Amino acid sequence: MESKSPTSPPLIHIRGLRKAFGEHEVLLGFDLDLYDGENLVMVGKSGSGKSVLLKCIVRLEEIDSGTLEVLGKSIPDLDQVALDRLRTDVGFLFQGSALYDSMTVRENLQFPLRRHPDRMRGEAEEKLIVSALDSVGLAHAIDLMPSELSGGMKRRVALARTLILRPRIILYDEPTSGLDPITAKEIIELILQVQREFHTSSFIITHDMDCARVIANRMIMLVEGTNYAEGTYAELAASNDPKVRAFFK
Amino acid sequence: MSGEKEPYRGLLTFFDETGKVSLFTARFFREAFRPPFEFRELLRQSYIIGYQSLFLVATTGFIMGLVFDLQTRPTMIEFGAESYMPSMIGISFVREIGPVVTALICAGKIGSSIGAELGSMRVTEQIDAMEVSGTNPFKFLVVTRVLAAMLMVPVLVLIADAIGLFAAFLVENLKGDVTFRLFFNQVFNNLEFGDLIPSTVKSFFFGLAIGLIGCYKGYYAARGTAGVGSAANQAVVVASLLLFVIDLIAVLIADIFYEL
Amino acid sequence: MAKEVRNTVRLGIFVTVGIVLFTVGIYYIGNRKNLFGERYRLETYVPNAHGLKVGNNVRYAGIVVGSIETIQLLNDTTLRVVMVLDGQVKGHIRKDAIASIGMDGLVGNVILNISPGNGNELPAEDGDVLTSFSRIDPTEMLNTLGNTNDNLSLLSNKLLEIAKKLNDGQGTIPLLLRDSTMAIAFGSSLDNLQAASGDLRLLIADLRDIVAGVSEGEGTLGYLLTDQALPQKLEAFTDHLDSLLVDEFGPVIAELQRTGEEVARSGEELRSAMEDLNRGEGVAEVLLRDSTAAADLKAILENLEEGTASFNENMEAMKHNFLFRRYFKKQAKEEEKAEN
Repeated sequence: MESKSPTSPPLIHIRGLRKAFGEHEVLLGFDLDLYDGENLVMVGKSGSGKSVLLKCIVRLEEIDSGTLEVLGKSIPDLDQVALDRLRTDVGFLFQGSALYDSMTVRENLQFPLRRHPDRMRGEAEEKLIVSALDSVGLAHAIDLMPSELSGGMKRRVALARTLILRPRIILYDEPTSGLDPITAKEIIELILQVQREFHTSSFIITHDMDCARVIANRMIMLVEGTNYAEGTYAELAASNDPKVRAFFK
Repeated sequence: MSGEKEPYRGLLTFFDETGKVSLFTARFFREAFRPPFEFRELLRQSYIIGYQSLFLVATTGFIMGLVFDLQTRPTMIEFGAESYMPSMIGISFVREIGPVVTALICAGKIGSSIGAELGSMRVTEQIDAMEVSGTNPFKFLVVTRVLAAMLMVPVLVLIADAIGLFAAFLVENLKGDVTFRLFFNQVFNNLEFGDLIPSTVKSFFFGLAIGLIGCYKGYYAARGTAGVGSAANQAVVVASLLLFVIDLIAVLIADIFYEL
Repeated sequence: MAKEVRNTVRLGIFVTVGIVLFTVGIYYIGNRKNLFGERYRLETYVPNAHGLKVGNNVRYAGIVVGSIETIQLLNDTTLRVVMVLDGQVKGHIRKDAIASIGMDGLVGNVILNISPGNGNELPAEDGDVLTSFSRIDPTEMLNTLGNTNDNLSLLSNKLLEIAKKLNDGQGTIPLLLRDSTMAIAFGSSLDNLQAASGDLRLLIADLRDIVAGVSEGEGTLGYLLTDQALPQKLEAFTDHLDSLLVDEFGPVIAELQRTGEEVARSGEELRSAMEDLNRGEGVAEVLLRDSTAAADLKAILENLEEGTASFNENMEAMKHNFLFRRYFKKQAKEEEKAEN
């Protein structure tokens, strides 16, 4: 959990990333480096392109221009097979949990495994699912449908689903949004616990400053399509820049 | 597309959508024939699309048969052609009414449910989640649903035909004096493969259109809950419209083959 | 991104135009059924199209051989109709074929019928003009049908009246018609009568010959009377003759007499029947209403038949009797002589 190891190359390396939807430009030359073992939190106003950046990293969106390397591989140049392989190393926790409504919790967790190159079957798979659920404290919910789960539980199951492939990086898209403060706190705890347990690097986007304060080793501020400010929570909180200060109200 | 001149906007949107649907269709055929195949999901979708539409299709088929017979009877009696009722009902049901009415019902039920389901999956990022977990969501969601619709709609059409004809028989039997054997003998004496095959082929395309439009609208639904609603709505509207275009083309083609 | 939109728009236009062209294309293929086959055109001039439209079928001998291509108004009374025909029928439609506008059933489409001419002409070639025959149009047809209907109903009413009278037994024909046994009996009676009268005539002629022969001293009887050389023979045969005359000839004469009486009586009745017939009251009226008369007539005829039959038998017996043998032989010879 201790911060960056400058000697090793960054897990995610972004330079001059641009992305526009039609004539609406979202990212205008964004730079970012995520190092092994760190928790990088990015804050920004809603609609500022945080989620877009996250999706670009796993190529759910194509970038217009710039450099985008994940685990040393240039994302725009990957073919489908290589991309799928890379994606197993990058977990993604979606904003609304994105559990598959039509499947039980077990099937939800099975889903990422079904196309996995070295898929296990039967008991081994079941064991893996149970252990993943165990690690988020929801082993009892294995046969429930997502509609039967509360918001916090959904988020935990989604995290379990992300963890099941043992990713090296986990991307969190607003992990506490839509949750009450107590549940949000629980999720934050869980994120930290997972990090300890699985030694993952995290890139978290949020507009929840409490969340950021607890998790972040390092923070980055997305303002007007660029990485406007960078630093630890304390550094940024002490900034005099009005655009930075706007986040600390 | 913003900043375009207003009068051309609608036309441009239409062509843009047509182009996108064409690409989507092309992608469907590309993905459909490329492994891996999602057989289990195809089976599950066939169950949902086929079996769960059965009651609706059967009911409408039955009512259509009743109504069609009741409406036609007086006219046919007026012409003294009451005895032509079974063959006339048989041919019109198998050739046109069965496929088109069933397809419209399916467009309403299947199209909207696919549109809404995929739309909500898109909106809640479930499609993205699938994509990042290494499963091709197009193959898993779209190909299976479109194939299931393609396979199930013809089956539903045949069932609707049978039930509609049975309902027509009931009317003929109650109002007139036609036995079961006579009715169906007459129906089948006048039906040829030339009637059944074009209508079945047509039904395949109806299924394709319903599945494709439903999936397209859902797959590219706009964000937000409004996106889901409009995806479902547009899926039905566009699919229904497309059904008639396909029907027109199918009838024209069938006409050529009748002449040969 | 903007470029991408432009591409999808372009694709959309391409696809839309493609679908439209495809639809229009197959529509035309469907309309011009023999797009790839050989076709040829014939023309005809008609005063009234009777609702014939471009695309209507052309039939020859009841089968569809083509369709109407153009209908052109040439002047106030003439329409030019051009039809496109299947090349396969080219040899069969001749120059003297007749085109007429007709209906495909009472409520069907208007069609152009080509009927064969007398078949001596050459096959019609591309561009030939067929003579047209103006058919009544549907409304006229329906009017005529209406008239025919009226006439039919009048006719059937009359028929109904007649049938009713027939059933009620009025008039003469009905009686004849109704009693079938009478008709049969009458028929056979007449047959019998005819046969009997024929036999009677023969009989009488024979009798006359015999009597004449006897009086002239010819024949057996005459021979017997003049032959004196054989009194013993005569003596010996007197018994035979006696018995013959008494036993055989006697009943014959008696029968003959009775027959004659009966013939006379039946003749009387027949005459009155004939008179009735002539008077127009009809045979039926007299013969058939009176069943006893009919029975009598039948009995008479039967008797007559019986009588002549036994007379014939007697005659045959006489021929074989030695007394009369000579007479008969002679007669045969005379007949031979006469023939020669």
